[in-house]
Amino acid sequence: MSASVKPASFADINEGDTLPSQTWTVTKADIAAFGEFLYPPQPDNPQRKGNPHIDEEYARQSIYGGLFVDGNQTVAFLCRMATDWLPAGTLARGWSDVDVKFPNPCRIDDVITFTGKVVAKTREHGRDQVKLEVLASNQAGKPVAAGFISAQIPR
Amino acid sequence: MELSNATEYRPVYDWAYATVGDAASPVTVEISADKILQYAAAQRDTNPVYQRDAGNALGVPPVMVRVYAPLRRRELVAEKGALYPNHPTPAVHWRCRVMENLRVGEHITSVTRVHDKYLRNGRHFISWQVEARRGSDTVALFEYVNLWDRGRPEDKNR
Repeated sequence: MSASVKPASFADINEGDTLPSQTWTVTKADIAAFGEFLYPPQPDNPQRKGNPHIDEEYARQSIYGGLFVDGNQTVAFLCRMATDWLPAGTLARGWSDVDVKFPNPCRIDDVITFTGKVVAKTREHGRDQVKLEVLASNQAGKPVAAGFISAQIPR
Repeated sequence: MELSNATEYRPVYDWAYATVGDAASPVTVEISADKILQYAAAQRDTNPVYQRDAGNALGVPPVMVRVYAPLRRRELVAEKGALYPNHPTPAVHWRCRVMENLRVGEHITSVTRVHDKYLRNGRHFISWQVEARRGSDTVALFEYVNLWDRGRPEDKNR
């Protein structure tokens, strides 16, 4: 199914619209960069040691056998897909609800495809809102993140 | 003679020890332009809304909640006099509701709490909630659920 044209405003959005998909081949460098953003590499930062997303030795010895992607990073990619398609400013000024579950882990060298579609469009209390159903799947077709992003469209 | 090196017993903050309502001390963080630029660079997110421009774009991406309202689980555990579990605790659910307009330069005060704990399909989960306030207004609620058990052998191949 081809993606819908990027809407300029709320009026241009329709239920059933599909977002252009995005892909991400997971690399250790990407995980590390996000780790430095979220868990700054300061010696006394308690969030780094024993963190299975950035502490490679710890992750290797764990039952999971190696680094896996921080769910926050997967959410960031889903939001990026939404922000790239929705009218400018959406999701970047607040007034949003991002609700995502992680049914499977996401690992280095996985190729993740992010997809989304509009499932609702409402106008309540003078606010224009859209709700997207979003999904991230790995190269085997397994979902690694699934949920909904609701956002107010700026006027 | 006094014992000077007595080891203090500290329990592990396992699922049984966690108590709904446990809270970390509040923390206040500024929504920083530098941090948003770091997000954009780390994620190679080229959307102009996360850059400085003539219109002062610098929007606040949803995942920034983890910076301006940090999930202070390890701090909470330490404040309870306990030890953080020595095994990964994978996230299974991420939710953030932002109820206001957020801007760079604002100061957000947040508190992390144990919101819920439950058993599902034989596994133990802890749900955390971070309430973010600007002054007296709640501006965001962040909820994060972790599997709190040690993983199972089959998890290695999931």
